[in-house]
Amino acid sequence: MKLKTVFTAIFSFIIAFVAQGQSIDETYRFAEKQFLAGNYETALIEYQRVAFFDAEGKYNSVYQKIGESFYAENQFDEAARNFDIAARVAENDSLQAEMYFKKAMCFFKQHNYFFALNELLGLQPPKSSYFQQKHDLYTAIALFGIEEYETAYNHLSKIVDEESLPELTGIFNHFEKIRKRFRPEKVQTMSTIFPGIGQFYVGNIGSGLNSLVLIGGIGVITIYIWQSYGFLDAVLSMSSWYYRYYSGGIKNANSLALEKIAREREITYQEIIQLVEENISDTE
Amino acid sequence: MISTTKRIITISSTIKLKFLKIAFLLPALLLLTNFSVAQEKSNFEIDELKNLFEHHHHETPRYTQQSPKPKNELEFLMASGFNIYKTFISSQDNPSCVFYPSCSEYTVQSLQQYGLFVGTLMSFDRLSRCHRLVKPDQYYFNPSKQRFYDPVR
Repeated sequence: MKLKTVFTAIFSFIIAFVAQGQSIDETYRFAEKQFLAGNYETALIEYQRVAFFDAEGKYNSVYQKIGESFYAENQFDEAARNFDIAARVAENDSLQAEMYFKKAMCFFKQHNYFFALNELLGLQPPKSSYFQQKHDLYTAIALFGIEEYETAYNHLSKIVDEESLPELTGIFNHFEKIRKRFRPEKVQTMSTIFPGIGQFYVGNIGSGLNSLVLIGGIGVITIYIWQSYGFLDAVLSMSSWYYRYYSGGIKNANSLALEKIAREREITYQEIIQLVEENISDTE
Repeated sequence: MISTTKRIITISSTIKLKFLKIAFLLPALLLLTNFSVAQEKSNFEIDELKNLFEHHHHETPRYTQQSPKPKNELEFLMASGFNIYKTFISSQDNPSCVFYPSCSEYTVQSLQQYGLFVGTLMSFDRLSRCHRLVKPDQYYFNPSKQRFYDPVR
């Protein structure tokens, strides 16, 4: 028994002297490996460990990595928070600006364009054409997201060259025309005046016919009940049905107009991005 | 004479050396410039920006069969009724159901899972509960759908 205790004690001491914990550098290297391999979840845990034990601030860039890992995992709130920390501890203006752009990108992904705009308006990018262009592009996207199309155009016109400017103007003008033509209030009013007309105007013939037939059918039944049982019976039995599908048709016309504008907005945005991409590659 | 030749050789070799240096340095510099521009271009993260305003088209719910067996007459009737209702009537209606899945979807699911008798009873139970005076503490409210969650259990 005594011998056993002595052996255990000696063995424990040897282990205690020989064994070494993973150093912070090793942890960082391991995290980097995992990040490059695409194992973002594992990388994230290791990076967070580095951030926790790095008392000297040797690995300030770790917050950017944490942000990027969260971003890759589609956790945009956490990513934005870590990009913010990374921006605060950034060693130079360029890196700081990049971190704020990344933060804005997190808000873009959440379709939170107001927050993105807030970040971008507070940012003073370094005076290089790359940063100015990126700032203008991101600000334009945020403005496009909050439907401030004219201001978005002003920012985008700073990025594209003079040759492409008429094309950009054309894209915006076309979208403006579509927005005015299919204004939801206008389409809704059309369906209020005559059921189905708004849907026809938007180009959804099926839905327009559906609405017209449904409300027409309710009207026919109402007249039939009126003739058979009297006016009061007809009004009492059919008015709720009539109201339900009449107002439903109006709302349907409204949502179809909104859908049409949303579809056009997507096309417009794709055209803009394509134009910007061409202009960026033109500057090479 | 010899010294002049030597000088000429030295000068020509210096020019050659300079030319060689330029010949090596110029492509290297060009490569570097290209690399830095490519870096900057990728830094715009255009690919990430591309699908931001993707529009999601609203699809009318369709009947989905649960068992791999072919539909019998009753199931065929139920599927057709559901699809016709969803396409022609429900699409023109105000959003009036307070739950999701909606009452019609709930009915189909309950009939599929519990059969005709219990399924019908469950559907009537659901219809009796679907009104604006629903008790909020009894159901989980989904803010994105603006409806209470009440699945077939």
